[in-house]
Amino acid sequence: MSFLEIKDVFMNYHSIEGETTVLDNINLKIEEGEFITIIGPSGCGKSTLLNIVAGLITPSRGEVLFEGEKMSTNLDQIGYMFQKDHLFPWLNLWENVILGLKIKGEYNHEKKSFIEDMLTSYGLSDFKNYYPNELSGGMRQRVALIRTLALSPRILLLDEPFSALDSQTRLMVCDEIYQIIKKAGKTVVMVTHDISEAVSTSSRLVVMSKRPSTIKSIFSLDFDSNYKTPLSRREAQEFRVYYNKIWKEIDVVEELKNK
Amino acid sequence: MLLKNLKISDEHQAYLKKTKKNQFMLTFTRVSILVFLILLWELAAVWGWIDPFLTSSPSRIVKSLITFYKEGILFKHIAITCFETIVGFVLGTVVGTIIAMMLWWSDFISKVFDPYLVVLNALPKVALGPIIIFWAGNGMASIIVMALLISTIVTIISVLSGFKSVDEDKIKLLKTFGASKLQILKHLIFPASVPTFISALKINVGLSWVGVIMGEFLVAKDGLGFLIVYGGQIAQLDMVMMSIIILSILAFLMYIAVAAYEKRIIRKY
Repeated sequence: MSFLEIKDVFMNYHSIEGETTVLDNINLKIEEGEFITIIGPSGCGKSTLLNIVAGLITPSRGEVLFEGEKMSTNLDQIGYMFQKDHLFPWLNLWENVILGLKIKGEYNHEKKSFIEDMLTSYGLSDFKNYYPNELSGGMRQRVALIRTLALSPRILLLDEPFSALDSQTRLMVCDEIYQIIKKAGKTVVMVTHDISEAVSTSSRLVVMSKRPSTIKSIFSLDFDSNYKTPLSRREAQEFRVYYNKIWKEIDVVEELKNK
Repeated sequence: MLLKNLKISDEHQAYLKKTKKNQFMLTFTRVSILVFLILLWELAAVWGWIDPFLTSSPSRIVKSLITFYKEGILFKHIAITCFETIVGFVLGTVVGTIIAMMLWWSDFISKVFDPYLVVLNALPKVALGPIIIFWAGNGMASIIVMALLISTIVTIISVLSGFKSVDEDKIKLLKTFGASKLQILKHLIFPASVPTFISALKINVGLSWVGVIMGEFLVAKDGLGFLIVYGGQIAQLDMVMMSIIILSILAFLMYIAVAAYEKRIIRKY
């Protein structure tokens, strides 16, 4: 029994003009502690797949299992991070971070000190009363992560979590967020279209084909143990090798020709 | 965040001085125009360029104001009009928001009522005047209904579009927290729509005045609207002009109140 299993998932979108198959029989088993990245051409249904795992959309066919049980009864195991931080501008940092707990009615003393510890270890405790527009992009993304982690999910779904940041901040924030997630021991499913980001973070990398999407191939990434963080991985010998392999696999050139 | 320098450079000092001077010139010019127009009006009447019977004049307006004040009915009329406007304005905003909430709640209901809203919005509400008087009686109720009708429809349309423009991903975020529709409304839709509310308030201030004055024209019992109509009928242009000026000042004050409220609230957005 896998930790997380995507089983025979099909997804069709309907409109008056007709029916589009987005996901065509997706099967994937994920073990606890893995960092899985799903990569593929734009419009291939990566985000759709993530939304299905999160229980936000019901697939046309198939199911998602968490430790053998239906995901839909285990939705509190899931934390979701978006492209943008989506902090609420009318709430200060602290109020933003506890929002999820408040909605679930789980905000208590124990959780409060748990969050306070997290804020302290990620250098945010002095900014508790600051409003989002007074924080930098990197800080905001960290706050968004802590808001997600406050609910103690075991699986994190990241939907292009760094794509709204500028390229230098992006590398730094990616590195920071990666280390926070690893330290917390979470299982991650990330969607991205940035190959180098995928290679620098993942333990396994799933390449999807264009629509109707199937899983084209899965790469296990093995880095020397000296390269522990995304930033250092970029310096590893293997980085370029994996990058080129995946670049070819996605077939970007082919895709552009077809357009 | 602002960096506070203890020492202000000469360049900055010059900049501050210039800004202050500009601000002063702006206010000075504005006031001058007003004073000039009032003077011109008065002198034109005194020198016989215009007929004060048709145009009135500042001094005649002041005289009329004093008469009304001495008779003790000036503040009664002002109070009645203000009361009607504030009630119409508050009710219009509240009722409009409640209806917008219901339409937001159900996409189906919202689609069903869409063409009705369009027609109601386009319909000149004053056309309903006689009907309103028949139904709500020849009194304050009719006036408030008129103000309400005018401001409610606009509120519904603008608040609903505010509700609907809230970022879908933020709604999704709350759904991943397991939020109910009511929680989404409370924690996201309402606070995110505060700027929309305020712009609706600003529009409603103006529209309530329109509704109330129109109502007072029709009912013709009390209030500044009544004084305007009555003054016209008995050829007392001083009374008409006085009422219009009081009205302008009141509308301006109410707008300033809403704008000050906006400034306080909107900072975070």
